[in-house]
Amino acid sequence: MDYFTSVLSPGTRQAVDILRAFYIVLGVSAFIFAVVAGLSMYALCRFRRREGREPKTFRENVRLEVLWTAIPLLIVTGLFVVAVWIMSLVNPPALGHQPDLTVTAHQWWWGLRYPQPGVTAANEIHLPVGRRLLLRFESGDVIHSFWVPSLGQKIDVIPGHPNHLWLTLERPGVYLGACSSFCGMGHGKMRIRVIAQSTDDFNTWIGSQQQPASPPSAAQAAKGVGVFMEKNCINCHSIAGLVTKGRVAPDLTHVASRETLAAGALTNTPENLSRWLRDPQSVKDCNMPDLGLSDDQVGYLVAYLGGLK
Amino acid sequence: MNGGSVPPEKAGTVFQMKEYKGLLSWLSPVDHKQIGIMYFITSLTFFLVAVSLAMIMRTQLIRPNHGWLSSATYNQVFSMHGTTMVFLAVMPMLIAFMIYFTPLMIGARDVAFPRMNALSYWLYLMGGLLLYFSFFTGGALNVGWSAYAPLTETNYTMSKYMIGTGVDYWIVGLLLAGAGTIMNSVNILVTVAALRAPDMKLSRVPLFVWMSAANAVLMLLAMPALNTALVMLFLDRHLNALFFVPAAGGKPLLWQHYFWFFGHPEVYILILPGFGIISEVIPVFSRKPIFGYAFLAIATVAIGFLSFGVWAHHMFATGMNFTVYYVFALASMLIAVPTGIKVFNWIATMWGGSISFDTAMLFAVAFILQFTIGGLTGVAFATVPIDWALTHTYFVVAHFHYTLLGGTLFTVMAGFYYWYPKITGRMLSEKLGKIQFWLMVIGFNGAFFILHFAGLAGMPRRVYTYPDLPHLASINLISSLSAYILALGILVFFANLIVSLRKGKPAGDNPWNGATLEWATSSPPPPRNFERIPPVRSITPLWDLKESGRLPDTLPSSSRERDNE
Ligand code: HEC
Ligand code: HEM
Ligand SMILES: [Cu+2]
Ligand SMILES: [Cu+2]
Repeated sequence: MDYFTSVLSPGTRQAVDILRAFYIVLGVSAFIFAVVAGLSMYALCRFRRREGREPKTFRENVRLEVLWTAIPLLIVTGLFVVAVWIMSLVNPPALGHQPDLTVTAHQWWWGLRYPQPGVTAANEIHLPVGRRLLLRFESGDVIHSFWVPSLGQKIDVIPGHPNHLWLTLERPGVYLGACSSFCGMGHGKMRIRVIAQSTDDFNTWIGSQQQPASPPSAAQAAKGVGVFMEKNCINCHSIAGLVTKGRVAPDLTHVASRETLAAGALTNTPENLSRWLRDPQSVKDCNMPDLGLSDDQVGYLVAYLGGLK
Repeated sequence: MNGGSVPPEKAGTVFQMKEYKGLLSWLSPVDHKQIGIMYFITSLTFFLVAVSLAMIMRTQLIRPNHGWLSSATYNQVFSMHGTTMVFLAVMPMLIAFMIYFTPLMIGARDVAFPRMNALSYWLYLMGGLLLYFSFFTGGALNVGWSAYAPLTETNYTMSKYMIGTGVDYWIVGLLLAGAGTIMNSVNILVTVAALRAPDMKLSRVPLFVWMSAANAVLMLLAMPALNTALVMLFLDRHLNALFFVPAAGGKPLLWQHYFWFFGHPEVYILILPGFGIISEVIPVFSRKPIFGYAFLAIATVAIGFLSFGVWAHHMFATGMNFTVYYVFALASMLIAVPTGIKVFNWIATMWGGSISFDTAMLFAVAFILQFTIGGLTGVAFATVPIDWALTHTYFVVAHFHYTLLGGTLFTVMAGFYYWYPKITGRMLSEKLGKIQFWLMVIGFNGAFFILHFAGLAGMPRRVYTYPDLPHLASINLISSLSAYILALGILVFFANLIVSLRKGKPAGDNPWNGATLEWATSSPPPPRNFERIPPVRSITPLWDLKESGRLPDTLPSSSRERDNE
């Protein structure tokens, strides 16, 4: 899999357009800076204090002033046109279109809902390449900001103020990003992972996510179900096919199919899962309490949750 | 050229003047120069604190997944760094220059309201102390200097780490300091309007004073927006007013509108007096009058006006209507034009001059180049789609440090090297000055230019740690090491301030051959500033006198003696 992490490696049509605007402005800026720096340096060398040379005394030149008012005015007008042009390409209004995916930001994880196939997931966003997709953003608490550099635009996720993004992914790959608007303690570990797939792979993924959770396959895992029911997990988390009343924490129906845990804080391995269950607060500042699980209980839970592919 | 009574070689420093002796004189001053000095000392102290906080941040960020600071600590550190730099260090430092030099430069004996001036200072000091007291009450501000709602509501600031009173101390501290600032602006405006030397028409007012007055207007109009928002937040937190609580019909974005309606003018408040300093320093060290005086003054007014019409460029990622974006993008780009005019006028002032490279001038020139970079990235952010990609990232951190640190702080340094002799009676060491200058130029550009790339490489701002993504480790390492060099430069500056007070060369009245009235009196100036106010026939009164061969102490007494106590 290719990884994309930078604004300079665009992975969507929108990001390509934004990068075009960036390079235009960069070019213009470099030119202006060269002029300013060149003139100052020349003046400093040419007019440094020397014996017997009197400074000139001119104080004004209206033609020059008009010139260096008019030229910048023309330049910024040009840049304004660039801005308007790229804006309309990148993120036109949603105009009542149905979103392909609704992202709900929470302190410090991302809830995902694909309304069409009816899939609920968390933190890792699977998207098909080649199609123009509409993503909708809502917040469950404070202001967050959805930023995946290679996808182009970021968008603030504001409570009571739904926003949207249009994305047309061009290449399969893993696109890494992060919440970029300060949202409290866990902000630094509220990462985003977007997995762009071919339509076939994406449909396979959707198909697997539509299934309810697999029943526990071994005795250990079956004990895990018990712990899960007893230890309050169900107040916060849902597992389709088991209990689905929890709404304030990531859906765990297919937690084992994810590459990372806790919004990118850990890679998803059995060791890390048990570390998470033992002491989530040592991994990141988060709203999952330390539930005082015994080693055995952790073992059962890892066996159960690890099987939820 | 000695307007005072003591010959320069015998002159003591300001702290040895008999009028300024004793604790009582420093506890109850009304002299604008004494209050100015207290503003300088206090703001420099807060500056040192904020720099230390910055070093803590850069140390935490020196490598990926660094476990030194917790998120709980880091959040307080960056929030207090930003708040302190803006409200307690840099703005008051500029106000110090305004209070100290505006009366001197227009030939007045004091500001219009000396006692209100003192009140401003005490409000500022108490506000600052209150803000820092929050560290002892269970935690300081930890939501960023812009404190976006609804994260500031009590249910979010209460946590197992802290009870969340940091936000309350922040509100009250800033309200106090803000009230002081509003009084400062009234004082400056009335002083400039009413107490100018008899023949100092508006067209002969030094540019520093022009820009201070424009700055005062901005402060007068901008601070109330912040104060209103602070009061609303306080009501939200303690009386459940729900202004910013979405679930109850409040609007989080309302906070942002208020905050940036203040906040954007604020960033011009943080630069206009700096522009003023540069407009004084460059002519003096180029031995050539400022080029395009009228255009510079008009450009200042234009910046002032426009700065109230651009605030929503801080909100381009909030998903507002496109029409709103067009208006604010256009206004934000237009404001670059008067700023550009200034840069070209400064260069034209150097053109054909006789330039000496004293430390003040070095800082002024570095300012022009660095500020240009900050201005250009500013225009990039006004180009909405680029803002969409790069706002909330380290690219922004780089951008505003180029304007505030590479910009304002460098003008302040130029101001210190230029005016310290006037304030204290002693010259700052040029040798230490040059060392400081190079440490700061290298340290600053090394620390912040590269942070543009951190933003491009995917690093959001306000994170206490970051994963080991491509390039981030090396970028941050270079940035942190350079920041230490920068801090070393700043330490050299403080050393210079202290050492030169004892060991510095006596300054004499006019060591730089300055052209404006403050150089017509002794250094340090006597309590009532001038014995005689020289005639003002142009923007360079002292150069006129020199040409006509008349020295200030042989001047005819001014036509109108003024007394404003
Ligand atoms: C008070 C609510 C709460 C309870 C109770 C709770 N959790 Fe969580 N859990 C959370 C939250 C919130 C997160 C998301 C943390 C983050 O990333 O910031 C989470 C994350 C997780 C994750 C990682 C999910 C992912 O997608 O990466 C697992 C696994 C998990 N919890 C398991 C459990 C188990 C097992 C229990 C019961 C022993 C439990 N949780 C109890 C709130 C809770
Ligand atoms: C002395 C050298 C300085 C260093 C090394 C430094 C470093 C930093 C860093 C690394 C950040 C980003 C923190 C983060 O987002 O996590 C920051 C933020 C900030 N700095 Fe500085 N800084 C310095 C001086 C200044 C000055 C002179 C000012 C200006 C007036 C300033 C104003 C700010 C502000 C307003 C913020 C934003 C705080 C926030 O996000 O709430 N800094 N600084
Ligand atoms: Cu966040
Ligand atoms: Cu602004």
